[in-house]
Amino acid sequence: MNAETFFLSEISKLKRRVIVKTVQRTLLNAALTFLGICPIVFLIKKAGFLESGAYDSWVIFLIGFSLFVGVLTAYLQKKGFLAFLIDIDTRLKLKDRLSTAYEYQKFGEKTDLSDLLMADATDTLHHLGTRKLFPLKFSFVDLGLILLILINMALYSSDYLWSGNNSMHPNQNKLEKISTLLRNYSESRIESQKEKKTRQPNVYTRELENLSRKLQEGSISRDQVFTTLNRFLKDVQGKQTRLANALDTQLATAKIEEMPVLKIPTLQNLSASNLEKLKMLLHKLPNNQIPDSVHRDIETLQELHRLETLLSQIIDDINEDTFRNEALTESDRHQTPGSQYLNDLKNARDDNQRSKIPAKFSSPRPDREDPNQQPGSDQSQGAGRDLGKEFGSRDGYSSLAGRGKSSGKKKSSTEIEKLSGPGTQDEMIPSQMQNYLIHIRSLTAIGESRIKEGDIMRIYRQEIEGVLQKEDIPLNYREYIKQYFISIGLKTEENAYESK
Amino acid sequence: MNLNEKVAAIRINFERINTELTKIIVGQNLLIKHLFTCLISGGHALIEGVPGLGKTLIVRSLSKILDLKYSRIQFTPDLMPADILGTNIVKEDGEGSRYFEFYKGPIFGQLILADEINRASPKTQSALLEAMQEEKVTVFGTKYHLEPPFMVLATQNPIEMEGTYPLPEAQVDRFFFKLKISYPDQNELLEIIDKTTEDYKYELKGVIGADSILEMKSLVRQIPIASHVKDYAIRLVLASHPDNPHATEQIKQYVLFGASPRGVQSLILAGKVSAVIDGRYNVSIEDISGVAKAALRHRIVLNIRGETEGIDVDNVIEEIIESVKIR
Repeated sequence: MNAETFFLSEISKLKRRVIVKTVQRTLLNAALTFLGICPIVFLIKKAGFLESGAYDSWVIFLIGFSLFVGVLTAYLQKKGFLAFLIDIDTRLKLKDRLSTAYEYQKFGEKTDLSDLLMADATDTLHHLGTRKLFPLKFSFVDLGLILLILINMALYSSDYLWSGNNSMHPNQNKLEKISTLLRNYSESRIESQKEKKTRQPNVYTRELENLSRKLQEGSISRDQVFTTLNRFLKDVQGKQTRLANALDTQLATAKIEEMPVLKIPTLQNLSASNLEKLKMLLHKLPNNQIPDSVHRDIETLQELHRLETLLSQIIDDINEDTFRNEALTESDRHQTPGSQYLNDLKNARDDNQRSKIPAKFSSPRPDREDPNQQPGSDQSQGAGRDLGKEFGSRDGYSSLAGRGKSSGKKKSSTEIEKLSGPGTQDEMIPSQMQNYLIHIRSLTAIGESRIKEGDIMRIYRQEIEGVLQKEDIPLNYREYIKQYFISIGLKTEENAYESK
Repeated sequence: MNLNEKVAAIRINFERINTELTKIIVGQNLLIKHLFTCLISGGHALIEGVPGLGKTLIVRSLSKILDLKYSRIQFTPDLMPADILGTNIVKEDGEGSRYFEFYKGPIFGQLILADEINRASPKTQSALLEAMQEEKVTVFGTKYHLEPPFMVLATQNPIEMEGTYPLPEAQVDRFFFKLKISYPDQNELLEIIDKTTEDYKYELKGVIGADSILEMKSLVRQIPIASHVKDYAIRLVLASHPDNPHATEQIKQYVLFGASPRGVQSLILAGKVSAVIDGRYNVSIEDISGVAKAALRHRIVLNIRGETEGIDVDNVIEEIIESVKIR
């Protein structure tokens, strides 16, 4: 091998390194472009001009655009290999050895000294390391890249933290938890349906599967989850009511004698434990005495009850989180439209539950099974304390206030005033809600009142009566509210007289 | 001797000449290098310096080191061209017939010292034109070739104006280099007085002969030079022209004429010798810029404004070097 061959070998190595460096520079330019535009797109998105789906498309477009800019920049900055060698000669003070040798080799200019020149250039190249040929210099481009990375990290991390604390935005963990609950229920339901092949697939199971899938895909917002779950809950409760009525009719038709559970309340308000008791009781009867449809209805009611419990649990979890965030982040006096909406949803759910199972109002979490609770202790109606004791009510928990069915008759405010409330004061149990939004309203500024207390109480009573007469409050709940406010009013007036 | 050894021999010869000259010449290393460059390039040098700096001593010492025919011409106002070139004289043979016989002047040497060349009249100075450019002289219609290597080393005093005749531009342009002898510094002066006022004995040895010089001259011309280096030399020369778009403001204000094409030739050839002396087989940008002052300073003519303001041509060249970028 002569000097020219060795020289060509070294030049080939150098060219490969140049290509790698060019690719690196291209990617660097692309990264700079991408990181430079990302914050702008991010801000546009935050300003609301860009939707979530469109943002993903924009990111993909940005990647492509950045690569194009990187390639274009590399092309525009492209220098010939000879110019690159001249740069190396100048930078490393090689006195134009490499460039002259390459030029003479490339253009075939032959002199007696060209071989010596190439040998000299080969020796020079051989002793030059990659570090010398391509020094790692910290340039403004690198600084810009670092700055852009930091800016992007700050933007996206702040966005992540902000969205994690903000109740107005979907809580990913909560949604994942909901999704898991729904998925588990759907799977268990499907398994149970496989076991019972005779049954038709449940409509709710399919819808819950759809909801779970949408949550996993992130294609549904938190508000939409609320709406959907609330609608499910209403449907389930409606179906429960219909089935309970049907079951009641069937049991009445069956004319079961010596039925040991005659004291059970109306089937419309049966809890899971009561249903289980009833089921066990019916199993003890002769086979031909009870039709199969009754067994199926009881099982369906149990299934619906489980579903209702699940939905209530999910909604309570979300609301609990929402109210906590509201208390931490929002002004105490001002509710955002979103939180108002959530309150409405909660009230609506409560209304649904109250209309069916009044006993839940006296229980801290009436829709959940208490592991320490005795079977059948969570629900009672009409029969008052005796019934409550029979079904295992805990001591100190009220089973009276608001539990009696309303007669539906409207009474005047004077009549309400004259009504005597329950003789006993409800013993309030600590709520699981840690924060409440309290609206303090007064006719004048606090401390500057010139109106007599009795006048104010009268105004309040009138307002209470006005509110109670509204149709959107369930009939069987009006009595409870009335008694509550009357009790407060009595105590306040008593205290006022005592202080005087 | 292979090619590599021949190239190495040039560097060795330079070092030997330098060693011999430093026996008697103190300092002036750049001057010695440029003189060697002129010798190998086949050019002539105009050495300028105030009296007493050793101009004549350098040339005289060089003549002893180089095994060449040495001639010294002391230029005076009454010096005639025939005194330099030679003349035909009438001779008589044994039969009484008379004939002309050419009597060679001092130009017929190989290393010519034209001492104080600016003291002769322009007519006499012009006698060197043909010899310097074409290495031949024409006397009474007869051409006489000069024996190679032929090198003229002229000296001149820049401060004496009375009784001097500035060299015509055509004459100056024929010099490969214009070299300036600078004042020695304190240490060099100390060494000078030690060598000249004490019993300092030295003996200059002949280092190389005419054949070696011619061989080196031939070899140097084969030194590779890249196109961008040539381009740099060309742009240097072009930048010295006041009408060039890339000329600096100083050039436009103070320069009347820029360097001639002989300037580029000098730059390239001198760059090649410089590269060989440096042990390389290629000419670099640094080689070109290193010889730019010596090669261009006598080829750039200042205008009246530059002359009256005392502009130093070397400063102009430095500005040109700084303004011309490598590309």
